[in-house]
Amino acid sequence: MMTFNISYIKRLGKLIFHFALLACLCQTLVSCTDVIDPNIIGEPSFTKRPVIDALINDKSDDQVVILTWSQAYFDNNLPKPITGATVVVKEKNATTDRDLTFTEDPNRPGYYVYNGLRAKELTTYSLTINHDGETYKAQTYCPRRLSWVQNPAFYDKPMDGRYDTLYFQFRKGTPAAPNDSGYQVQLRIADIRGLGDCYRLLSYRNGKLLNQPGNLNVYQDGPALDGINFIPPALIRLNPVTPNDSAFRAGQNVTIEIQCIDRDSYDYWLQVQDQITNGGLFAEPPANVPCNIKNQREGGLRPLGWFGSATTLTQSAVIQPRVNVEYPK
Amino acid sequence: MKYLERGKTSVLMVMMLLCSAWASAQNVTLSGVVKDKKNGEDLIGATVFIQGINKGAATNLYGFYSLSVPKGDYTVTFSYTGYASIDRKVNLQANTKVNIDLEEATQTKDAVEVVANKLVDQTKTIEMSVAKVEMKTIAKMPALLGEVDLVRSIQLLPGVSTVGEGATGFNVRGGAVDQNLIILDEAPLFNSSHLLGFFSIFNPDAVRDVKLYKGGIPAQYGGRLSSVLDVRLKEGNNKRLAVNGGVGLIFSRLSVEAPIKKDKGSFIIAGRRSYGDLFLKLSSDENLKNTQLYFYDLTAKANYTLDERNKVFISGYFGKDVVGLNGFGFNYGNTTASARWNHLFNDKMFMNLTAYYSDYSYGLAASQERISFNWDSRIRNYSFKPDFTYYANSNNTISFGAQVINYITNPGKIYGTGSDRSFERELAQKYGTEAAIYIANEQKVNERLTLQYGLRYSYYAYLGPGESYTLRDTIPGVRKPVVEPANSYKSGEIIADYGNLEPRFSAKYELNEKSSVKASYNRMTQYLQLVSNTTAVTPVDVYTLASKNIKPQIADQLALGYFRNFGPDRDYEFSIEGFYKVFQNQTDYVPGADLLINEKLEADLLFGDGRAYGLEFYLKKNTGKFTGWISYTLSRTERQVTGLNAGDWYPSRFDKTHNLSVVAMYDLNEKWSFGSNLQYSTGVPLTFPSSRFSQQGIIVPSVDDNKINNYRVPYYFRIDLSATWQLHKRVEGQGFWKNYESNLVFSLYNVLGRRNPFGIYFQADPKNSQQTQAVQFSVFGSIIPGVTYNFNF
Repeated sequence: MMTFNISYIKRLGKLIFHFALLACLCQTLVSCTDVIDPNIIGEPSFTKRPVIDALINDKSDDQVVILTWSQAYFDNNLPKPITGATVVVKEKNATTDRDLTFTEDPNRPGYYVYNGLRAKELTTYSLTINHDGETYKAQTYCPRRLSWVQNPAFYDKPMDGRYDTLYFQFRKGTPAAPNDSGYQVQLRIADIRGLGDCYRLLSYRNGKLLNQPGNLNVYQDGPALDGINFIPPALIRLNPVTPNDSAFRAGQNVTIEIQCIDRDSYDYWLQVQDQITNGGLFAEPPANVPCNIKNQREGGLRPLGWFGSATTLTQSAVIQPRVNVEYPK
Repeated sequence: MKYLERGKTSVLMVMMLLCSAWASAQNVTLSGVVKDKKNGEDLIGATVFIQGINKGAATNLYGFYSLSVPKGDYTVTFSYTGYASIDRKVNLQANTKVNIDLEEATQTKDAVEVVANKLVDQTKTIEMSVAKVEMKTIAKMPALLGEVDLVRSIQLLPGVSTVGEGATGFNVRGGAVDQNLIILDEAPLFNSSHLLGFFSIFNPDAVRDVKLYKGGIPAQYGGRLSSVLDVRLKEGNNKRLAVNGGVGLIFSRLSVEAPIKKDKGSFIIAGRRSYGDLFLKLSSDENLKNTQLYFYDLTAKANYTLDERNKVFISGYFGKDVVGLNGFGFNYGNTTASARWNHLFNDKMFMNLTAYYSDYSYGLAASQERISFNWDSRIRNYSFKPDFTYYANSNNTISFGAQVINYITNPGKIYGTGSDRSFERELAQKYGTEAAIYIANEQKVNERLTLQYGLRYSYYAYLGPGESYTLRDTIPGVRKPVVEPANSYKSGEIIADYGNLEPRFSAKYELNEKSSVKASYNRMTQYLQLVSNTTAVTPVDVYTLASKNIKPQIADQLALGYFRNFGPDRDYEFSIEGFYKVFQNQTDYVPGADLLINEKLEADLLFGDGRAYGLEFYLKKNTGKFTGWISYTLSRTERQVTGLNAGDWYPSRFDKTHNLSVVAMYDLNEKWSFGSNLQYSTGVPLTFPSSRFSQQGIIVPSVDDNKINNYRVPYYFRIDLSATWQLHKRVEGQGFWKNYESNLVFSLYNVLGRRNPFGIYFQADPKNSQQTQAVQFSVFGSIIPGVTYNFNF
């Protein structure tokens, strides 16, 4: 019986395959893509469903639960808010057990806020929403917290003798954008010892989140990866997706955020990643991502979305030309 | 035994029919081998026709024929399409052997002597639902980048389609890509494509004969549901050294054939190598320089005639595709080897014994700085297969035989190094054995009616060592819960086994000299399948054996056809065929299924039924300066899987309502000939996300009610042109150039430059990730010109 978890490794394999394939098609320069008018194929009908978007975190005292309606796939308007709902979050761990009632923000319809809550590790958060006679419930677990520990054994001693958490490598272009030279951010942080840790990684340029589908980044340990520094190439996703976005340049402030998430959330984001980066010769059929929110009434409207929680770790650095650059070419 | 009881009636029926076949009158036997005079190759399907008594036979796959007739003086006509026929006076008083060498007819000299091949004429043979293209024809058709290709040519025939340009493999009458049995000199191939699906792995210089069975599949074949693509390699010139070659834009080919001992044995060795990567090496661009993108293949065969009764063959194929960039890459390839022994017990009993080995493997690799990562997967099988033909009398030909196949699959192995440790993990190997026996008879009931009936019994065992999971029932359409722990089985222990009776039946009735109707029914069983949920299968998809949770796939097909030849020399062929096919235990996948290196893969599989039905029209002109065909297929392919699409039928991924091909070739003069293709087909179905929602700033698509294949990609339309310029022609007695022939083939693929959609996918607008858009992906966006230089001497 094989005990180790390979889903991360599998993503790696898939990534290699698609990357190599993409490169191959780019080189042969024959394939092409066109944005088409969706009316050519016509738009299918759908049922409007409530959408729950919430992440209880520890970045500030303000927590928010966003309630909206789902919309047609090509409807590029802002989603319609759900107003007049009651939102309660229960926080429960070894020492705490309390119910927190969120209130609707009068300035932002559909936003339900609470001031005075920060996510704690090893804590269960439960969500209850009442709206229009329906009750929706969800539960999430906030796992143990990561800290800035490196495992120096993983890398040989860098040239300048320092072990920076964030460091940058100058790259002369990328396969997708050969003319866009810039800096690639690399992260040096070790996974928590012991199996079963999952993370979501985000990066910001001058405070602005990199939010291309190719930036959605989750990471999971496994026997081969337990306790060691996060390995590339998953870290590639921390970088701007060129050519749609420009590469990191000297002088820019780069912030990396690591969210410690539970396994269910990891699976959720992994499936979202599959859905939003699907395409090309070997596109998989679109499929629904999981949802951890249940309508309590049998046969009631099925909701969409995810209720998650995470402790976070952030680190920022300003790219200094040729100073914090390692492994120069 | 329970499986056998089910088919008791059909066994009895076949036995009775066979007994009647054996009871024959006192006759003498005329037998022998028909060969090509030029190179000594056996001719497959050459006809031997005895004038006066209107009896005839066609040579088998090894050029052998046998015919029993009353004693007497006869004129026997030996003929083969495109060859000058020979009349031979034979005084048959005892069993007689007549070996004949036929000579290829050149258009100018022997045009008169080229007789329509009366016995293999489509209205005379019992075969139906068979697609055949002559290698000569394939060579004339316009091809992508000027490279003649067998599989792409077959896709222009009725009932055969592909999900799109560059897609691996082909679909036959609503069957999936893995439901085709592709055999090269008896050894099966698991991936028939190079460079994803742009070229097939068959080197045209080494192939002698190709036949695709879409229905009415003879009892000797089994193991796949939808078709058999039987590819036979050349044997090699046993008269003299001959060289064939070609230089193209993408790859070059070279083949050498020569006698081992004149008229006794010969060999052929043929190789191809693409060289796109060699050009890339010259580039100043670092990325291009580091790109690996090539394939190669080597095909070889040798034969030796030991004596009048014994002949041996060995054949092999080895090919590899490599794609890589900056340390990332993948490769895949087939290896096959087969050895065969032809033995004549007597003038009436022919045996072919085959032993083969076949291997398909792929690997992914990544290395970055000091970390390396590798992933390999593989399927191997070896088999032993005796086939016998008993030419009982002039009205009955009985074939029987057996086959045993052993399968070993390695679903996945991961290994590599980090800087402080190396790792290796492997999913357990899986083992299976498939065994089959069959018997069949082709019986001429009278001048008009011929029957072919047979029975195949196949047995499959999924063997230990291994584990088997029990899956619990759940809501249909989601991942099934797995009962832990798994049951363990010792080496050789049977984990699951299945047996199936597969009746085969065909009938031909000649309405008159020029037309006939044919009907056929066959049941096919398949014990392994390719696990793939993408529109086009990928080289890294994994073959999975039938197991406790994966039942063998079964298909029943009924086909009915009308065949007619017309024109002054019967040079036009016309046929209409209708088919209806029912599939059992077809695989589909839970939404978001995890198909790669998943030891609990079975929990992500769903099973359902399939059906396919359609009409195929085919009009072909065989002779003259102007040749070609029109092929049109109207069909539907559907699936019904509990838990998907609310339990309703939905079109399968390769369903195409209309599929039209027009192929025309024109020989202007000795120097120039031209070819053109036109292809039109309905777009393949696709699943359309109906709605969207926002999650942490990311737009996520949603498919309401798990609908499947609810929309279609726009239609496909393409025209290709080619021109062949004959530079040298073989001339008698002119020194070195005596045997030298060469030509230049110019081609224009996709002349209209149409951006034919391969698929449509749905994504966030790269410029604004809060907006969604539909993107059409086309494999070719422009005209693709090509030029190839071919030579032989």
